[in-house]
Amino acid sequence: MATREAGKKMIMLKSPDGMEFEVEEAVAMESQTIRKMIEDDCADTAILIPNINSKILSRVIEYCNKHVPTTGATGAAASDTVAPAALAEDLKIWDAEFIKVNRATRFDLIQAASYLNIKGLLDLTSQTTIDTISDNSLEEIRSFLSTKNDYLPEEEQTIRRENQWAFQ
Amino acid sequence: MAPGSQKKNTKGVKEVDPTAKLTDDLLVDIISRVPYKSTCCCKCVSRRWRNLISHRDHRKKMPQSVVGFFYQGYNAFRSPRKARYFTNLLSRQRYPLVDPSLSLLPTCDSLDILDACNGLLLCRCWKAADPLELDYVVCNPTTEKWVSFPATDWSSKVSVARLGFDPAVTSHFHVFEFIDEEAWGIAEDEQSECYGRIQTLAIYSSKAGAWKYQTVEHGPFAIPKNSPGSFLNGILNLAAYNNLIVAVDVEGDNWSLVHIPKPPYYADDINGIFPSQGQLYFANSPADSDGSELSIWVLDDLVTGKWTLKHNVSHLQLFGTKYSSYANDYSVISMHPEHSLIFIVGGHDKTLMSYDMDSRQLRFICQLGSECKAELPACGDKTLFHPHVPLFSQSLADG
Repeated sequence: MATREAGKKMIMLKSPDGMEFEVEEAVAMESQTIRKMIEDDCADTAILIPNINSKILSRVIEYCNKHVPTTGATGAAASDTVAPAALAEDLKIWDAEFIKVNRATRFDLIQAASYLNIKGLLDLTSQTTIDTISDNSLEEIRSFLSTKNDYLPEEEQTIRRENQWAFQ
Repeated sequence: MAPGSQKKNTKGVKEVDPTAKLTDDLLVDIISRVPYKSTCCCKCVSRRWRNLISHRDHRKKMPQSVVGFFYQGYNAFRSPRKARYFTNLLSRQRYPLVDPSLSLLPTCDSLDILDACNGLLLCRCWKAADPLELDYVVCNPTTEKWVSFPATDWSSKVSVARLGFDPAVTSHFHVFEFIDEEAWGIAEDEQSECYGRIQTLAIYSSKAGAWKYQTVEHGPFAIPKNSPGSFLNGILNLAAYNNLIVAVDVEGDNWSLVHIPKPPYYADDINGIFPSQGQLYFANSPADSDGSELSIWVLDDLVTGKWTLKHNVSHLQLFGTKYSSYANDYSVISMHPEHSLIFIVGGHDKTLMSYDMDSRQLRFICQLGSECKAELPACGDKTLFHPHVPLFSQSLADG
């Protein structure tokens, strides 16, 4: 948990399963949804984040902590010594580690990133699914996503024929 | 990190479709970011996926295939003499017309579209302050984003500049400028016998933000100014004079010069090469058919230069009795990126048609009108048609 530093405003985030997370305001504001709440003064004591359990919320906070721009007194010193390119490279490696989660968690993260409106996290979590769809055959996509094929056999034949070239 | 994580699905546990929990908007957002070919495959996944992809509100967000062509028309008795057009291949409900004036771009004295590649346009903007100076602009007419960058010292005299861009690889692009001996400033009596020989290739990389020059030691070759560029797998291919195809990679390190499979019936025909279905296609009316057939070839290998005949059709079969007069007056202008379909413009009224090589069917699309012509048609000058494939990706040269 982030330690309280002098001069940094803290925000309390609550998950529906009763866990509370104290985070720096700047970190919480990585979420455009929370930013809007703070800016509209709807966030005096604690913000309840519906639909996102504590396990997922803690991972989202972990992501925001890492991605919050390092500015201000302590941050400036850090960015003076490290080149921006190296920082970006470091973030990429961190992201790649971060996304090594099981499928259910990844889709929970997609939903959370979408609800909280954190573009970077949404892009990161969606990318694996985008890659899967782009690189695999229809059968592989279905099996990867455990999607139920609800076409009648003759319907499927027709739609496959219409899109025949995409299977070549 | 990609599809490998599949193995993490534990066997024996009943699998739940994780996409079932996603809202329609989220799933549409994900599907809209896969390549066009995969969206067609996605339609077959389930009814929900098909309905989402085909829904009127989502269709515009989905990756598209070729929707139309940009081209320039000329009429000596009209003002302005040159005008830019966009013509739609699909019905207007399915895809709105694109504004060919490109009013989104910064004001300039005049603007030429030089090339189109996978959703981006390469334009030459002549400066209002000095009509002999220009900037290059690469723009995405779909997102209305554009970037401008300085031309080289030779750009105003260069007639062939082409764009290389593949959104599946990177949001960065390359511009290839082929500088001929005259533009380079070589005195007339020192120029080679190959008129218009390309002396230097300048390549602009949007990632580096700079031009790189190299003296061309291959050939000699010269490139017609209306030779359509064909960018495939990081290599720019262009038809050159003397029945050659020139291919060069984005670094300018690897070159290939390939002979076309058969010389054309009309010696001054500009041969067209087109990318389609991940391969390079070539179409002409070969000399040995006495100009009575259209042949379409596919290049098997750039290194060996081996071609395979893909399709052959007599002009009589192709045009039938209805359009028989087109046989002596037509050009293959483009090829569909994903289908075995070629686009043809023929006749005095410049009729745009598509020909399906599988079903051998010719389909009338529209009449472009007699003003759809190049400035000097008598000198072999031909209208260049730039296929437009909408690209909804917001990033342009920034990642």
